[in-house]
Amino acid sequence: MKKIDLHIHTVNTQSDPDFEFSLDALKGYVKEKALDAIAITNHNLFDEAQYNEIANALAGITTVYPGIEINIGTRMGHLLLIANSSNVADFASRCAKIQEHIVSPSMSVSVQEFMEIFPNLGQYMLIPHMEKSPAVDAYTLSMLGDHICCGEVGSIKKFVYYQKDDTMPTPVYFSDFRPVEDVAFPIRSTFIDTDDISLPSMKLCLQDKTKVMLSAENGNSQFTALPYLTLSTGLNVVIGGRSSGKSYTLNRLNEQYENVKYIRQFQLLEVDPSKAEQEFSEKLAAKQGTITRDYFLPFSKVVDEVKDISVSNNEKAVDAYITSLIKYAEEQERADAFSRCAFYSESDYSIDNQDGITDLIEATMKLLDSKKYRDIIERNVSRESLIALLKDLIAQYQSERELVLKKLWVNDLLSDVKRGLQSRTAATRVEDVDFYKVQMDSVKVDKFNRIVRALQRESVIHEKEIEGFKIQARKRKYNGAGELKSHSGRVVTFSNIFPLYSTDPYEFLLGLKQISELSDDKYYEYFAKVEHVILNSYGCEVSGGERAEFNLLQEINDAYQYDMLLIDEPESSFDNIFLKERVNHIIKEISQQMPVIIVTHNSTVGASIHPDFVINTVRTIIGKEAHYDVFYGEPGNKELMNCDGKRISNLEAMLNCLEAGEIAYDERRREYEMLKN
Amino acid sequence: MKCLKIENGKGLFLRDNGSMEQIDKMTKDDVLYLLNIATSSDEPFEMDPIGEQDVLNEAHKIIYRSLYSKFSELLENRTRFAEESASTYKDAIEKYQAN
Repeated sequence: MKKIDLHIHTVNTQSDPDFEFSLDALKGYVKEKALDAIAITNHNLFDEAQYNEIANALAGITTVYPGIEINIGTRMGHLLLIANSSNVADFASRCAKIQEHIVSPSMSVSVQEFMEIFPNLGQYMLIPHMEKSPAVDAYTLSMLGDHICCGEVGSIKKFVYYQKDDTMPTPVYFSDFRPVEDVAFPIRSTFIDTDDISLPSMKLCLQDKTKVMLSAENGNSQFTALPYLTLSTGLNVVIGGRSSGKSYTLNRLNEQYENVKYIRQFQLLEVDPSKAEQEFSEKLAAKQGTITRDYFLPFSKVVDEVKDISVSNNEKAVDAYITSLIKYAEEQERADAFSRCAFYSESDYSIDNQDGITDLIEATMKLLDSKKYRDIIERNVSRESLIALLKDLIAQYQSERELVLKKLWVNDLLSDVKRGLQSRTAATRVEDVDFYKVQMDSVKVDKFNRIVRALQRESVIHEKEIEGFKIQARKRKYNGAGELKSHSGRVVTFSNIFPLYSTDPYEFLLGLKQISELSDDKYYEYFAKVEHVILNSYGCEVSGGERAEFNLLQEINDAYQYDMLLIDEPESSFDNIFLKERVNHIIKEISQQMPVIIVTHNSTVGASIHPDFVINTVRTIIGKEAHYDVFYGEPGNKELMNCDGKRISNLEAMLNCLEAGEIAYDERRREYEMLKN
Repeated sequence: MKCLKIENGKGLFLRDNGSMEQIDKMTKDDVLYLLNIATSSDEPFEMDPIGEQDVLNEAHKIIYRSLYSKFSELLENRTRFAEESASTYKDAIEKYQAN
């Protein structure tokens, strides 16, 4: 078994965070971690002189391969290219071409350019970033084809996922280390089952997933999580006395790894119940925001249209029309040659919008374009019929469109003639009014008022079950101006318009428009109040404790988006039945996908959850000094062991930490048995 | 076909029944009728040019001038409405005609 780390930076390029390379640190790292092979892979350059210096300094300690990390493809993914150490000069000259191409971190080479510079790809080892940012794009990967022997991943979770999925390439997990003085050494490396560390042999080995592992002895079920601690890639339980270093261990893991979900001790406990309730409700509202938005979407469109309707302006226009018409009629006897022209009192053509037919055309094109449901569509309507329908619709649209354009042209001419005639006469001009629009506006306002009244009726608009809880979104009337103000979150007053809220929703909307602090795309929110509540399994609103339980379940479920889950003493906030019946199975499920580490004193969590791995932290006071130790192993092992090979009894550790010692455990067991009998 | 005519100091236009009518009786539908003639390629659209003294009735003068100038401009590109409307959904038609 060989331990390798083929991703190390030794030159401070524009793509790196500032660092000063230390050869001693690299030497120390290679020695301490007992690495059998490393590769020097700087961003878009290869420093031949420095490579030779490093290789000489580490001769006899490890094998050092020359390499480069190249920005490649449209997404500027990173590709590790590792060469044989036998022809460093040739590799250096090719890398110099990459360096000429990529002069800033925002540049990359295309896969074609890359293949021109390195035509014999078979000589090298190609390792693209796959589940690691920035990942190489699919096109580049397909072009590189079989020359890719494995993919670099950024977490244990993704390593295990790639290992389990046959369609994925072999994963490798490297340090991406920049050795500087006085730095903690990384613990990310990969084990390969080979005796020969030559490039061809490593390449062959990396193509076989069964020969690539996270740990030397335990394959992919365990990994070195901290320098002194091995963990399972599944479910780990950390037990230990008070102040023995349990939380310290979780904190170290949280610092060491990226993308970690950490649920801290007492994090979900409510300190101020009323504040907690409000915060909880707001958090829920934010999570349920999409549901509310979806529910109100049609109404928001109505509001958007109605807010621009001015009933009073329409009334004024009708009024002006009637008045001018009467006056014009009265003046007819003394009308002059100008006002007597038919054009003088002619109204414009009203222009039809073509939404109806354009919707039909779009819908027909959707039917024609659908790939997913193509079979169903063609079973019922032939493609030829659909094309014929589309052509007919488009022909109809075009003829209607031509008429619209002509009417617009006539309207334009009409207004030109009217202007000429009006300038020459003293006769009253009959005001224009669009009766169609006036009537439509009136219908729209009427319907808007009816919709608002329906919205203001109390009802449940959405309901969802989550882990035995029911989340409800309810709507109701606002109780007063204060509630509207608190919804707006601004220092504005609603008291002057609130009397209209129930009696005349349209006037209330016009009132909202007068409040300049309100955004017009949010007016719809002021017509009905939405509340989100959680009900327990009995259909009652949840208590503080149940709220915390719900929060814990949500936090744990949220962990799926992370690469590692840490939970510190969940029992400090929750009872055993809840933990056993509701929490344990979710944690077990998550541990199938990522390492989960739980700190506990509780036998329900510690033992009943059936962990894959047990870790016991121990503090020993020698004189006045505290010494800390960490023992670990599988739960079925008789003994747990630390990194130096020291052993302790597993049973003793479990009884001491979870059951207050063997005597207390036996006493309790006897008492339970007596009660049972 | 003569669509706008000047006769005895008055402006006349062609009605859809084929008769010539005084221009002060013209409505928007009459304009649309003439526009259809002007934009179709079946028959030539003809109109009398208007000079300063040709039309004596001032109201007729205002209307005739406006019609004359608008139709003259239109005749320079009589297919514009048809072309503009035919250009819509052109890509879609080409795409689906192909398959």
